[in-house]
Amino acid sequence: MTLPEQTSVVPAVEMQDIVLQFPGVLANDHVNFTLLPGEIHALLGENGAGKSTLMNVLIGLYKPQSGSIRINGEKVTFNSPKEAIARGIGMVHQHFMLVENQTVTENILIGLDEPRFRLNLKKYDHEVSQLAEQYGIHIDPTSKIWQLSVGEQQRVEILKILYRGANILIMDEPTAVLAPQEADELIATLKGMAAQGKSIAFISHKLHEVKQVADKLSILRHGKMTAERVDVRDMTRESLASLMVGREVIFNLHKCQQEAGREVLRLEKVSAVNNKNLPALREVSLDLHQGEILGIAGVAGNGQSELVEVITGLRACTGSIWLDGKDLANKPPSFSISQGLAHIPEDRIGVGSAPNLSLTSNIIMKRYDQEPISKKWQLDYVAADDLTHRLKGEYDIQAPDIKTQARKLSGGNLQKLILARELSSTPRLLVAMQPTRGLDVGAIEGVQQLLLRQREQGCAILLVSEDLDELLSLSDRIAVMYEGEIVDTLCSEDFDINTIGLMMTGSWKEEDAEAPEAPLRAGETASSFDETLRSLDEFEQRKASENAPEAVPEAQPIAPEETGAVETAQPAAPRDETLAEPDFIPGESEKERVLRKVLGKKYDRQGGQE
Amino acid sequence: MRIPYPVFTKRTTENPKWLPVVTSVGAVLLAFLISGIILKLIGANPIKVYSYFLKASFGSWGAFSDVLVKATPLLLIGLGCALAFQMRLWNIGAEGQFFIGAFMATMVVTVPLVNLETTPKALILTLMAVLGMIGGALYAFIPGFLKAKLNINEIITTLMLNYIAVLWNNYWIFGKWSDAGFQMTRTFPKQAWLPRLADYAAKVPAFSGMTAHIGILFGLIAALIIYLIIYKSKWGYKITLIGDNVRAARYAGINIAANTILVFMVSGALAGLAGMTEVAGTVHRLQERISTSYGFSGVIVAWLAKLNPFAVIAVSILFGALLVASREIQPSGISFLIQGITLFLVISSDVLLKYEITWVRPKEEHA
Repeated sequence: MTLPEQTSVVPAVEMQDIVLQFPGVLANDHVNFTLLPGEIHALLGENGAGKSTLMNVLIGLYKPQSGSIRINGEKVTFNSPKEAIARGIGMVHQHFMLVENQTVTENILIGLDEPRFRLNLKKYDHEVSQLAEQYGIHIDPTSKIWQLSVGEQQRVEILKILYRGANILIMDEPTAVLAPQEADELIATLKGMAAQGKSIAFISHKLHEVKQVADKLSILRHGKMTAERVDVRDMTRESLASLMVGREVIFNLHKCQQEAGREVLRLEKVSAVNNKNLPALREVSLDLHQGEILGIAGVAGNGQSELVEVITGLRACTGSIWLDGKDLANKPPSFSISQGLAHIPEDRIGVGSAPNLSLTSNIIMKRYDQEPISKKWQLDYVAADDLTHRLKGEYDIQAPDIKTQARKLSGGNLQKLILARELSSTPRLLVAMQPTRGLDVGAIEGVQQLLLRQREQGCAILLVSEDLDELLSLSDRIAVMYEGEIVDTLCSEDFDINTIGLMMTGSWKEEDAEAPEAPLRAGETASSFDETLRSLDEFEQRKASENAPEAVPEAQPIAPEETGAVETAQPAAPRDETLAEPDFIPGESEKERVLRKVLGKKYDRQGGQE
Repeated sequence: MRIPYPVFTKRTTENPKWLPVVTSVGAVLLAFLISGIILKLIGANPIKVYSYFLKASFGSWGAFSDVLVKATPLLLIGLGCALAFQMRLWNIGAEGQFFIGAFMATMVVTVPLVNLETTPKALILTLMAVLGMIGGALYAFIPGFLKAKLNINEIITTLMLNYIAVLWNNYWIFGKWSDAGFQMTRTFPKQAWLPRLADYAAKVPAFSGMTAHIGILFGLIAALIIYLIIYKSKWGYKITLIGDNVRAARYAGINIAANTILVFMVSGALAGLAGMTEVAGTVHRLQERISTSYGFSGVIVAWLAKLNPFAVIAVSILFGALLVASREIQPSGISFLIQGITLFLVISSDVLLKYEITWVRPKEEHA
């Protein structure tokens, strides 16, 4: 395919025939990529398809084996990112590179030749806020990075690039770390920047978001372009998905009807505190049966992580957790593992794997102490390698060989590795936390089918997810968590996305007349929280008639907004990204907006799909 | 003038197996080259110095025996450090564990714990070795426990405990155990000497005067055991897993606290054994300067060997040779100079394993 449109415009970026070979993988196979001025060009593909690699070539991090790059019509060879920056190319990585204890301005100035010795911070604060204003970015240049939410930190990264005079911006999966509401804001910002002539390459694997943001899109699969510069409007979600994964993707999973068996897991009045010593779980009780998937719905930070940690033995608690008659509460993880509990952790790299060790070492993590891998004091590496070979094939883990370090795997393959380890032991109970987050459609489908297969085989599954669609299509029952409590548990015939949404945002209680006050509210935090909730409700009612922003600051410990950045449209909006911190939940006051945020994707999709 | 400059690109290909070996050996050779330049600058003839070095340490069996004497404590301590470092536990306290090991072994003789006349020699020496190891292990238990239970930084605690151990020894050799007011204990009776090659001179005349003692054998056996632990055993797998990702290890059901304490104690036991071999094999008394900072050199040995137990053997012999040669060369600091440069270069050479370096001429970039 060549360029469909005949233009006289000089492309901002023109990459031709880029070839880059990694060990065992041809990451980019004669790839072309063109970006016009003022254009947002989305680059789609599965994990490991070569999107990030291609962009790393563009910013000079990798040197291609062959191929050419032209910037504004001029042929260039980059030896380092520095040279790419000099050409006006900047990249916002998925993981931010910011100094926590320094201010926004200081972070933006890091590494620049100007200022030289004496730093007149005020002058630069002013410059930064002007730049931010120009592109409609809301940020206070004097606030320190640790005070900012993830979304705001991302804005700092964007400003960093703009300050260096970039005209070509590369965004590497920018929305992966954002809440839907923040993602919307980002997309608006990007569109604004494009309108002012910046060229933006937007890496993503979220189909709906690409349709929202991009003008053109290209799709990579296994290092090759399967679609080049096609018009976003011409594509449907299904056609995009099949171009990405190379086959039809079934968006409706087949879930067989089956009766749940005997009870496997029972939690009785389990309470626990979070890392900050604040109550995170409040007398949670639930039960889970053989061949059943119990979904846990909730906005991040409402106790789901703690619930999982308590069951898997990683966090202390009060109350009891019965797994087939044995109490798991406050037992070490080794005990629950020996009782047939499998755990797919939320943090694949930080918890689920040993990044510098081989596939084999990662596969045997939970069974190095069992036959045949364990031989008295010895570890039988031959048996371990055999097992790894078998599982690598069975679960289709894409890696050059079993000695490959886990950190060299793509996200989807790493998750397959973890699933292979956890599921191959035929667990009685599987606790899966966000098993599909950050994966592409193809991998998501694979993971979900694996979960359903476990269900058919009689495994009891506790599925914690922030993706309501996933919960609705997989779960037999859904328990909704809010502020460390289970608000209610619904059976599949009662699933109603609006009800669940209301429960997730804590709005259900007021409407549900019979809901009593929670019996044991641990100390001040809880009661002061209730107060805030009440005051916010009043605030909400008042706001209907007049706009009164004075009630907001009280709920927000850090309020750097007064200076610099001018908040225009929504007075309380930019704070709720911090939902991950329980302290910030009062920020959710505007019920409607939060609902849209929680159900955002669903709302967007409902029109086209059903 | 256009000077080519290096550009570092992350390696995209798997490293060939020989590369780490080549870079390490290359770094050692480069260290000798740089040291040679420095020697030249201060007016010495580097070739002469190095050949004298070689002669002094490997020139004869007698010289090599001296090298082995120096290598023995380095080997044992280096192995202990290698094990701890494998778990990313920074035990910088080998010096202190060495001294406490030496102290405990000395107790057998000076207290005395057994009747030195009637008890068989083998029993006395076994007791000394066991007590030395227990001493080192218990002394390492302190930082291990503090790390495991209270998460106190082990670098600080082990470093500080070194001084306490030295002063504790001083208390005894200055006071109660002092030999006629000298800052040392009296010489141990022969019953408490580790067998040396010279002891067999009657049978093998070539051994006469050779001071190498059985301690080096302890070291070689320990190297084999540590190798089996790290690369073959389940425990070694756990240690490696904890070292790479503590959170993953915890998630996999491994008891981090217990392993932290255990690894610390094994590491300390090896340093304690080194202390015992030094007093029973080399000095034959407890004195202030039994260690020429073996504890710290052991850290360097472990690093240079990239934590591989068999490489620790080679590196400790190299360092032993440098120590022996330093007796013969004035100023004696030359060996430490070479040691320092070697460590610096070997650690820096790691960069070659992670990056590909290409030289770029400035004019190219504006083409």
